[in-house]
Amino acid sequence: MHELKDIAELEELKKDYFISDLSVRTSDGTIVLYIPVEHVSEIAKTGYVSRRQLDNLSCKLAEKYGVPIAVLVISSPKFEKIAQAAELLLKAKFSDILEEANFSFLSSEKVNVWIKLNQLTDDNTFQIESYLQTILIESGINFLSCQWVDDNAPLPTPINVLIALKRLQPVNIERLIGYFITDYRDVNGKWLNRQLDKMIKKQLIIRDKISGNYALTGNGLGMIPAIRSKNNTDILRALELGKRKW
Amino acid sequence: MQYVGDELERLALGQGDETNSDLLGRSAFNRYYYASFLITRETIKSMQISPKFVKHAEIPIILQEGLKKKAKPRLDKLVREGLMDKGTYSRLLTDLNVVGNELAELLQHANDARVLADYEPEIKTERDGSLIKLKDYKLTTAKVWPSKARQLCGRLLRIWRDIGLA
Repeated sequence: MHELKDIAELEELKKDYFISDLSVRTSDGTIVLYIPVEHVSEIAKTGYVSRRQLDNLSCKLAEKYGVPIAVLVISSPKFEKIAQAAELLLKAKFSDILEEANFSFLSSEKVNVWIKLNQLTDDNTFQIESYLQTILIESGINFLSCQWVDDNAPLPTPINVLIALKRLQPVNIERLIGYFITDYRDVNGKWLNRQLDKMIKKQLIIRDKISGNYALTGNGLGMIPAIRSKNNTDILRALELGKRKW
Repeated sequence: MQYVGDELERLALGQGDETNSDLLGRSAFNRYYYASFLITRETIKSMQISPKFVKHAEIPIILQEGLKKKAKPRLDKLVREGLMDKGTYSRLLTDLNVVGNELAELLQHANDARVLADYEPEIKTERDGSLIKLKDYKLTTAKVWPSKARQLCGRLLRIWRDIGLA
């Protein structure tokens, strides 16, 4: 196993790559490099080290010394303070809707924010996201990603609609709404009707004019991926058909 | 696992003997890591990204690279067939990237703390009132690893469902 003193270039590397600490794991000889997030950037620039540069460094050291290298980007007091300040500002401005906000910095320019609101609407999310962008950009954080904490997604995607049709077909729109309503908070007849019309135009589904029931075409069926799990659409379809009809 | 971690933390804080408190405290780090690891491994299994038994070191790589590799062809197909617009396409890819990286980093930190706890007994835990620290890792932070991992895994599964893979 290598010892840190064996690695002659280490002092220079520490300076060039903003390594705040390093250690060798006795369990497997891995050299662990710790880099504060405030020095990590998305692209290479003066005063920072990019993710790509860190990946290259890991490969170079692993090859040279024949040991695994682990790079750990650690939090820094500066960014913890930025997170606290941003959360306070958010809570002050959106006190009536904001329940919680947690910040995860992926680099000095990129943050993922988990936000919980008591009223999740498009208007609220837009306002909060715009406000966050304005206050974070002052600290050089240009890449903001918001994750809205919510049990239910707003609307199903078109592929979800096709999967539901495969399971339930032939099915009318009322039953489809009933199927989606528990998992998607904004689903309604007008929206679903529009989605189904688009799919008819793309020849993915057909609608029986007399019964009003929808069913998949061969093209529509071909869009649904085969997955090996209990959620496989063939299994779900078979179980649906096997349900006792009263 | 989470329960065992919580109990070990409670016992460590109530333990007057320094050596015993250290042993209990470092074991709590171990349990919190395994709780997060098992939640993630189960998610990866249900997402069918890796068919074989997933090892500890492989998980961050799967989260940083494997997710995108599997999702991108699927997303491309949905856009090609007009079942997804470009805006949703890039939003889902960005979310997958950001959430995958966040989970990978969480597990890398948790694993680093776990390795210290298990294999570096000469590095002792430190007590500051009701705070237990192992090097720079706080047990109060370790305590939220499993719930954070569950939240991140839930978001990954939602993205998987949105593109029809779950």
